[in-house]
Amino acid sequence: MKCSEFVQEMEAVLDPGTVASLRAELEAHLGKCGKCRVVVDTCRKTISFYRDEELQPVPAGLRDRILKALADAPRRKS
Amino acid sequence: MAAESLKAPASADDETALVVAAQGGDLGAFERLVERYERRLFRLAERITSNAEDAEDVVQESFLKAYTKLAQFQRNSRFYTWIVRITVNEALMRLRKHKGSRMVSLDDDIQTEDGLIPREVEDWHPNPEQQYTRHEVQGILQRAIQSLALPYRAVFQLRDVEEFSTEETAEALDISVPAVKSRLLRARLQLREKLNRYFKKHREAVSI
Repeated sequence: MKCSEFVQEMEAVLDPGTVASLRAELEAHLGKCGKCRVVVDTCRKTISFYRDEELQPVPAGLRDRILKALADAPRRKS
Repeated sequence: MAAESLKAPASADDETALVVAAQGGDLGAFERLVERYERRLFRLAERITSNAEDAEDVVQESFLKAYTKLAQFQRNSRFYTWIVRITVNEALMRLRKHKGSRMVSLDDDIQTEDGLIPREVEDWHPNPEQQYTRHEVQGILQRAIQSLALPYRAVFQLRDVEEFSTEETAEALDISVPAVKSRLLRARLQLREKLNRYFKKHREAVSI
């Protein structure tokens, strides 16, 4: 497997639920290729940074505006 | 990192109880849903519109639309998934209103080799976030994702941040499953490349 082919299929390493045979082929490439290991590791860190990012409070007054709009809104009951 | 950002938005059972109560006319139950999801939806709307004021309007409109159409929500999917789809649509409509529909498309064919071949391959500092203050890291992450093209950052946000499945992401963005996969790969590689500048082990001085 070439590095360019590995990168195309990298999702299979980063995401669960991969077909075992493909995963084995990718893991075999990773075992031999330091560059692709670094790409996978840094992609994992990239995803973690964004996934674990602290949620910021919404701007002041937004919730009040939402709640006022809801209180004024017509709605049919189910 | 705050504990709240690490867990799922809410337990499905708890969410269902609130939705059932809200569908029965309990406004307070719907307000609990607003409190629970407003921050995640604001972040999503801001990522798509790249504008905090637009994101505020988008979030307000999305909750209002969900509330007025709550009777139509069949509970076949999670409420959160449903309101994310509403928010994505509202955010795209807002963008199109400002920029024109031809400038805002998730259907653009952007299948190029750009960003697909990693240019710089160097390991990162073991704890790169310790090299910067929390505020600096937030700024780096925000600028990096906002510099991605809309089709990439929308897919990345839904798949990797909101943890939607590939199929849910395709449905929310009205694009094909192969398009989600292709754009996710490019988004991840491009973001990695952008963050590499700041987080690699042997970095030169970079301004933040």
